[in-house]
Amino acid sequence: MKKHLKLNDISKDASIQLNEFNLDELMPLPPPYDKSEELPVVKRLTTEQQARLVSNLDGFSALALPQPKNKEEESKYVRQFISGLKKLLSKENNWTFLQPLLLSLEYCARCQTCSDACHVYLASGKNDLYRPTYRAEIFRRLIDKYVKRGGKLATKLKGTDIELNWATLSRLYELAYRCNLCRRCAQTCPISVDNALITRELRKLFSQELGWAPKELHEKGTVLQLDIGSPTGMRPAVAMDNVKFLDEDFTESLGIKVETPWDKEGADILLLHSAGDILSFPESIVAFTILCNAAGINWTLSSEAPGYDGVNYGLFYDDVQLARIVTRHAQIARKLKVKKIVMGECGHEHKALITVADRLLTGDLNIPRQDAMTFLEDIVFSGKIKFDPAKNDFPVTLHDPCNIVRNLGIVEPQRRVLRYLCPQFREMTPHGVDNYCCGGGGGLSVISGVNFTDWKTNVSGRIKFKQILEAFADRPGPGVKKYVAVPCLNCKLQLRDIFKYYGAWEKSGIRCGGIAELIVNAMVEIKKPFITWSE
Amino acid sequence: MAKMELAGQMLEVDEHGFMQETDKWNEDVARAYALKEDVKELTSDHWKALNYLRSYYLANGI
Repeated sequence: MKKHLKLNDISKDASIQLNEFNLDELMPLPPPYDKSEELPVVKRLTTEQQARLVSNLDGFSALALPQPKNKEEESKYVRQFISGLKKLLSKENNWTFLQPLLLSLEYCARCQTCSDACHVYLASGKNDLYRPTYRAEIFRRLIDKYVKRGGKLATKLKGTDIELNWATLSRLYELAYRCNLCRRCAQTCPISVDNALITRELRKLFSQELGWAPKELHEKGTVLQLDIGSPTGMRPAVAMDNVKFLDEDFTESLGIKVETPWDKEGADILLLHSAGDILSFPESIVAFTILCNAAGINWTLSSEAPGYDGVNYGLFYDDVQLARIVTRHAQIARKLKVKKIVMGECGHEHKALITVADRLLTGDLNIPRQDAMTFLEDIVFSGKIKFDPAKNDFPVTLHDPCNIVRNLGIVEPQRRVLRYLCPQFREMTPHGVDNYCCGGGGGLSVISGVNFTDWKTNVSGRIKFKQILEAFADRPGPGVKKYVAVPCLNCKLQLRDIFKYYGAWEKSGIRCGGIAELIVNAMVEIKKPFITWSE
Repeated sequence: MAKMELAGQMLEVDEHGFMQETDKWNEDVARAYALKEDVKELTSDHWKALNYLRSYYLANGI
């Protein structure tokens, strides 16, 4: 029987796990994925890991937080958190997001409408721990107690005091990474309280004040990108070498010239891919090269670090890193004298470099930026390329990356493309701005932690998997090959993890890929199929 | 930092068991890893792939 959590359970006994993971509590999946005995066993922490690391939240560790050495260390972090809390609420230190944060903290009516909109909360079987409001309300009460004048007495009298101790701190840190920052809660809230923003600001506090951040986002993420060019670890020479190999390989296999331009000064467009696609979904990179060339576009990639990798993990956890990477991207575009930056199929890149960057880029750094959806739509309907939609005659559905669709409102251009080029295109339910997150948003897609992938495939990705199965319910089984169009690398990586975990390719014939590949697959000029059915 | 015993040494590894001090690698370490994957003997094809990947990594960092 699932127990209800109290808010101040977060501060109880740091050595005890707050919530036990129980597969039976989760939202059921349709057959053949409803038999838990046929699914991989969920990975747990080893005894050695449990002794060395903190896992007192839900049995999963996204962050591999080491056990504190002594009480002094615990107190130090508590002090830092309070200092960080004060900075987060001051204009001098948080000019970026202070206003929406204060509004969200002040005006929540605690109606819980947001919880019912949250894919994590619903998939978990309505576990209180994953309510958007659980962590937000704890956060509010900590502010009331430790920041507001007379807070210690006031909260004691009101009965709302929560102790900020190691238990609270370590649990809140992990809990901040059980949210995909997708904004479905904020969109549903009748007064636009943004629990995802509160969660993200909590992550920022941990990172900028305590130096706590997932290594995949920080040390091997933004730091690596600013150092050598990309969180993938690819230096410029490696990225260029890989793309050159793809050019040669596909020129040979397709029988048309595939050639990617680099560092072309004065080009109209600087295309900014998520460099991870070069390694994980190379057909996406090749597809853009083919389309830009076939449409006669004057375009280029950049080999100056980090100009060949449009990711900006700072968006997920740290304003300083966010600003540094945005600035570098704009400086590179300015130096190359391009007229416009165009995004690749990467969701968070769109939000970081189009919207958030608007507040950071001034003067000649404020170079025009365009999204990938309208860019691809313009190519498809330009009349410059001949298409035969019959080449895409297989079931196709569309996942809506949160940062492009819900957060930026870019809904229709990609649909016009798919309706034209995919005769068996069908929407999933719900879709558009009401669609659910893939479960990999907010940077979670690239965080494997200790056993975090199993949480993502079981909990945060659960509803998305269900939506996909339901969208293809008319053609189930592995005999009919089915394509989920996903214009975002992090979403594709999460879906790949989900499909691998459940055996979706073997059992249902489902794979995912970008939109650019579907467009190239329909080109009349290319005689061989571009999309090869292997996963 | 986690540790794992490989070829008689305690080596630093990440939470997924990957070596962190790449200069401590030697062929015995490779054999110890292979045993963990139920590969009892490394053939010349194995070594070809291993050595290629290792030298690419040492040259390019990835």
